[in-house]
Amino acid sequence: MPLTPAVLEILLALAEEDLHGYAIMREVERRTGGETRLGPGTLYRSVGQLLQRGWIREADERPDPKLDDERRRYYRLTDLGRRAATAEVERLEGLVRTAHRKGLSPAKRPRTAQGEAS
Amino acid sequence: MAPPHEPHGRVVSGSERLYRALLAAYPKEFRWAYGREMAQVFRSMCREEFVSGGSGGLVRLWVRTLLDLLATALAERAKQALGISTLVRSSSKLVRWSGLAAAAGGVLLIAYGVLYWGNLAGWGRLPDSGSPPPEDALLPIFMQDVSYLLFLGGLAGLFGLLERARRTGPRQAGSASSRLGLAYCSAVAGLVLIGLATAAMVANVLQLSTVGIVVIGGPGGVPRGSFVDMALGIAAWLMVWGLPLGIVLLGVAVLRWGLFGRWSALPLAVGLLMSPLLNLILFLPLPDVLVVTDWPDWPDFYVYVVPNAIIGTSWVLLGWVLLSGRGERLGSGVEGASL
Repeated sequence: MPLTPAVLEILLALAEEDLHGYAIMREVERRTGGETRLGPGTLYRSVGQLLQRGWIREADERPDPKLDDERRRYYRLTDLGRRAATAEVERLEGLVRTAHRKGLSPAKRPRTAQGEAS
Repeated sequence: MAPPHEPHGRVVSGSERLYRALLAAYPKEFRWAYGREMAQVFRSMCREEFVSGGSGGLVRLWVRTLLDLLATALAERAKQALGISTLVRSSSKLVRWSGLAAAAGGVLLIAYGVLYWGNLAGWGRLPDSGSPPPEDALLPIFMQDVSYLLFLGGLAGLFGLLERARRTGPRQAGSASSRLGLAYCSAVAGLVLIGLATAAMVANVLQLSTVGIVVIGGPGGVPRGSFVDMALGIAAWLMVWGLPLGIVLLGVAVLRWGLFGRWSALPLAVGLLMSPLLNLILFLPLPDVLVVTDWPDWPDFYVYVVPNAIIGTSWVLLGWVLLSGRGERLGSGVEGASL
């Protein structure tokens, strides 16, 4: 079953390092150039689902305990979550390949209104 | 010039307080799990937006956050209302209450058997004590036998078992779809029979309260072979056989679901089968040896006390199984996965 955009974004944000909620939010915003902004409700609802599925877990150790608010919880991608994210990326890649074959690729847009005009 | 951090701090704190209050829109469990972190995140967002975008940035953040809160709180509330976690909790309650009802019904049934025997044996006086039931007036006998009402306890227990089977059955049954199909068919047939029997019993109570005793045959009685006679016969059959047969079918469904091992189900099965056997003994022409004799009336003891005690014990056993949660092999199964 396809993952929701928020869930996939969170998995991608956690792919390289453990992050707390606000850092996940900032990372998603940074990576998408501000196009995707997760609200606290969406973020923690998705985090709850991911914890429940065992795709992420709370990290035992903190990156820098001295510099950080100790009340923050850090989340870590599990192997299961990594496999799920990989599977979803493969699915999306397949979708993109299909789109390319059908001429829906952004790089092959000769027949757009602009292309026809030129 | 006022220090910039002061209004910034007040606005952020005020926004956070308001957001904390709005978190009440989420279910309690969700708030308990994530409320503190959400407020903390919102505080960080407020600070950043206010510093970078001023009041306008804060207003835009509030609009986005309110929409987010509305959508996710509604989704969480809907999940709570329809979700399995709630269902499982209420289901557990249902199972426990069913167990309690079954145990209480069992105790009452045993007590009823003893008291009925005591009445027959001379402690008190029953309308028909001392003589076998007249062949043409069996319906009032059913009403005297209030032990049927006590079957409700056992029924509640069986419903409790079915509820538990519904929660655990599919996983235990694995790929045996035929087995599950049989269980469903048996459960449906059992419920239909019990429903019909209950309807017949209610109709009987109504007709007794309005018409009084119906005598079949003889002068002034309902003519034999008439529609009323046939209807009464079917109702009597349903009351005598439909209820216990339905209970047995429900029991079969429970067994097919694999809820109990064979041996732990044996006492329950014996108790269930005693019901039709009791009816068989009571409503066949009574041999002379079973007619009330002097105290202690051992033949009646075996008719009234022993079967009721066996059935009652099976109900108590059923209640104990449900109340104690024995045989409930949820573990990390459905319950764990659903929460």
